[in-house]
Amino acid sequence: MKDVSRVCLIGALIRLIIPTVLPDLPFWFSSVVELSSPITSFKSLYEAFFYLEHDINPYDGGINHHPPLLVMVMNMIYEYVPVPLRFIVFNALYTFVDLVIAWQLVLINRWYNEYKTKKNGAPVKGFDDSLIVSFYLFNPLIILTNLSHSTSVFSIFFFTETLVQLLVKKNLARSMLCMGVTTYLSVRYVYLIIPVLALAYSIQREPKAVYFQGPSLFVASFAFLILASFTLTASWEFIESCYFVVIFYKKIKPNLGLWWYIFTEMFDFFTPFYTGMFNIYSFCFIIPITLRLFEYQGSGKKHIGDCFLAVVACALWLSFTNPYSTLSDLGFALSLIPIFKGTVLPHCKYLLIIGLTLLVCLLLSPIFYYCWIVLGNGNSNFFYSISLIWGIIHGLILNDLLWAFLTHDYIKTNDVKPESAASIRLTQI
Amino acid sequence: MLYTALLLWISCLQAVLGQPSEAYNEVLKFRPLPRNSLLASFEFNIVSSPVQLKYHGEDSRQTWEGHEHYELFPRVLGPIVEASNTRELHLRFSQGWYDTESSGRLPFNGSKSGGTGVELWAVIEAPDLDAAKADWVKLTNALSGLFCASFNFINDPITTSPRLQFEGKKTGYLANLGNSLFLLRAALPNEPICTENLTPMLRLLPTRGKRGISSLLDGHKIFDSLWHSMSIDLVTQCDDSFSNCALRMDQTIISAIDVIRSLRRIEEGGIPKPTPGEKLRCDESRYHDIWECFPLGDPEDLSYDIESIFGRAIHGAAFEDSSVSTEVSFEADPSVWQIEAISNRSGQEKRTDLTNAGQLNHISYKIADQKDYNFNFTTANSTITSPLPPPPLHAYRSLTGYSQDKGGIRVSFTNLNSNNVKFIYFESLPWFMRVYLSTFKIELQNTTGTYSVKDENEFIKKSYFKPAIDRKRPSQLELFLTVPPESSLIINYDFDKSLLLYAEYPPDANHGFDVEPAAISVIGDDNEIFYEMHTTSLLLTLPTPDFSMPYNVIILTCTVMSLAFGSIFNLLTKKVITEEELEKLSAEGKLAKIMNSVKRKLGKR
Repeated sequence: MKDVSRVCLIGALIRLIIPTVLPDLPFWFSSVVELSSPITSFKSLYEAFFYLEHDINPYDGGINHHPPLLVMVMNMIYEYVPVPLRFIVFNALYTFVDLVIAWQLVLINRWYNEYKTKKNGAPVKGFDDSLIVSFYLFNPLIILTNLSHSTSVFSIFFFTETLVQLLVKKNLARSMLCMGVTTYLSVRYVYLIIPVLALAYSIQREPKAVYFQGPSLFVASFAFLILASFTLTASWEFIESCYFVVIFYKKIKPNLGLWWYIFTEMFDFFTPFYTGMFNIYSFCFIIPITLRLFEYQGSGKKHIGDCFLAVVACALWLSFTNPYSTLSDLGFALSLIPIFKGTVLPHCKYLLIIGLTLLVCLLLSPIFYYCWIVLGNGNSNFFYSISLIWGIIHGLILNDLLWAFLTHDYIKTNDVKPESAASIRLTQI
Repeated sequence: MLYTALLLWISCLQAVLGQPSEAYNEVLKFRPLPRNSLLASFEFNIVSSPVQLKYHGEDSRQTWEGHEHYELFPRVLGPIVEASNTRELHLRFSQGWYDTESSGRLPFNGSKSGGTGVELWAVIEAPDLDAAKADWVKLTNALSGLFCASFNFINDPITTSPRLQFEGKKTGYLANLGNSLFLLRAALPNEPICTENLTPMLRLLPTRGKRGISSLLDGHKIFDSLWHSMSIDLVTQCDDSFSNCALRMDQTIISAIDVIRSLRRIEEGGIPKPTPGEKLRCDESRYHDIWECFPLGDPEDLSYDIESIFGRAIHGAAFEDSSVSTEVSFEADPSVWQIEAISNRSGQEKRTDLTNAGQLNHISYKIADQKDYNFNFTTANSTITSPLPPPPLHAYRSLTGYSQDKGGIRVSFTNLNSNNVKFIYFESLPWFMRVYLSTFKIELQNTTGTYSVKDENEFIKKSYFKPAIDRKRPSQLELFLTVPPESSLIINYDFDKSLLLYAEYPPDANHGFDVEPAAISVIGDDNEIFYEMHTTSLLLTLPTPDFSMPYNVIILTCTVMSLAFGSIFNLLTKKVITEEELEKLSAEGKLAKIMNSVKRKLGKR
């Protein structure tokens, strides 16, 4: 506990002091392509506050893509706090949210180890609380995201809250409400409802509650938020600028994702086809992963499954196919992976390769972007190559995790002895 | 003879119809400017005969009852304007740089000159904005053909409806019941202005450029100038009951000509050559010999006539009728400038010295007969000109930042007068500049230093901002600003540059994109606009993709997609076994059996 509070303190100080000393930093980071996309940029959120202050409709323009309720809530800080203090309040808010997320991860970690211990019959030992907190708070991807004041932090917060409500508090209804909020903030999280429901079923085993109440509560809460936004803004314009922009890949800005360059280079008449295809591609593995990792009841020793891993794998897949990919998506998924210390993680083989590739990608990405945009001695292909590597990293992590899961599953279902488990060589047919 | 007949016919017609006549007059003004340039402004005014204007909706195409009687007013323009329900039309074609610091105010107080490129705004009568936009498209397409300009490229992403800028301006027309007047504006800053645009301008004149002052207008000479601006202002003028309305068209062509260059062109031809040694004018106060020379500026004692500058003389009055006046006027300091009128009819030359007539700066000369007229300018010191008052405001706009993904705009307004200057700043930026107005900052610079302004309302009395929507609408910023005496106001704000789609880039993508000039209307104490000016246009470079990549991108991206898909698909669908089991299974497979039999046979040999 002492360690946890120490880690939290240092993590909080980094997040609080740096932007307070350098108040321009969040705005500067907001235009760094790796850190924030047009959808999550703090600069555009701030512009929306400015519009509200000057009686301009924030959704009648191409800058703001944040959902109305988020803008309204955050606008309170802008409206009621005077200038020098305002930025400190924003910094404090972002710091607080990140600390809460870190604590939620601790709760999830505890639950996971407990749950697996109960299920396996043998004790499953995960990382300490303080390590889990450090993996999140000292994750450079997460620190940078937080310093850029990207609004994806709030989506992550509500998503971890969904998991905490479901797993720790055992409250499906509240969890679904949080999922509704998450989807409202960042529409691509809607895909995660499928593995989350599977996870809920694996714990509760009440098909009616999980498969009827859950989705209906989720849809109801999402619909309520949309309607509330409609009443607030008195128009449907926000749907276009918050959701259609994501679904139809409308905002073309260089980012780490796969799609921006293909749409830039695409001939007009192909665009609808690729829009449809990429949307299908984004969704195509959500259900298969969930099914493969599903914890089937009564299947005896044939298959154990890990629904929580399904959630993480789907989050990784979404980060891979995100049209406005930033470091935050991968950073969040990477912070969840240490939770599997006791089960899947020991079977991962490529951690070093993945780590090095990620490092190279992160180092080269700003350099190549600078060469293209500022110096002009490189061209867009330099940065594009980085986005390909970014995609490959996601593929590698997913492959490694799934293979590790399969190995773990094989060992458990076939009762391989621990001493031979380390040397077991598996393959697939 | 033709014109006499025409006029006779007009007067007969007038007698029959009992309508007031159409009116026409033309004025040509010359003004020598500092640095040996000459400002020539041609002004033509035409008023059509009054008619009852109707609103032509979409359904009224069948029952066209437009204006049928055009005598002096251009027949080609009337129906376009009436069919598109345009009540006011303003067109500007400008190019070049008019140096207000040395030459003073713009001619006509800037009301007849546009910013670089082409500018068009119109007041359209319509029941709603959509109908107005439909008429606007109709109008721009028709004008595009008429003026040989790219008006057909005017579409929603560059069209704006100015608010503050035109609040002060009055329209002499009252819309029909249920309709309102919509003001729409667009500019094409990268449009080149050339002879093709001048020819249609001349065709609008009743003299067709054959007689009167318009006979001077030769495209090669007019556009070979430091700065030139052509304008058409068409307004509806109604009587008090708004029942009968006449169309009034003011056409101007202004050109600031470099006299030395024009004269050199006659002597040496179009290709500039180095000045031969004996013609070099060296600074006598310094050491000079055949090898060394500190050249002086342009000569100050000049003598030139307009025939050598325009290549032609004025072919008499516009009409052989005294009611239509052709006037040539001069603004020059009579103490150093001598101006002569040379009339010529079949070789008989007659010279009249105009400067003796009056010791005033302003000389007016009426041409009434059908002789050829030429005017000669002689001066001993061309630096002394009749000065134009300095402009009330100087404005400079520039881009800041060095990267291709973001930048800023900095506009400085300098007021050198001893009283406040109020003005409206209008700026429309293309959608691919994502303006962040929250970064808007004002600085005040005066003799004591530079201060950042905390309370913007001190200098901004009114403001209007409409953000851009991607591919649909430009951003529009209008500010009502006040600049205190003898100080500068500097505004700054940031924007992001957007990456465009492949097909949206022009063929020379790395050249950059022109951003239209901002318009400034200075407002006097009586709240009327008394001076208009434009900033220069900006050249914006956007990030560019590699244009040779389309297929490579599809191939590479899809490779990564399929790698991820394939490997995960395998992991999810295949069965997990140990390698020993696999070996055992493969030993029982068909392929293994064949291989074994082959091996056995080989082994036998």
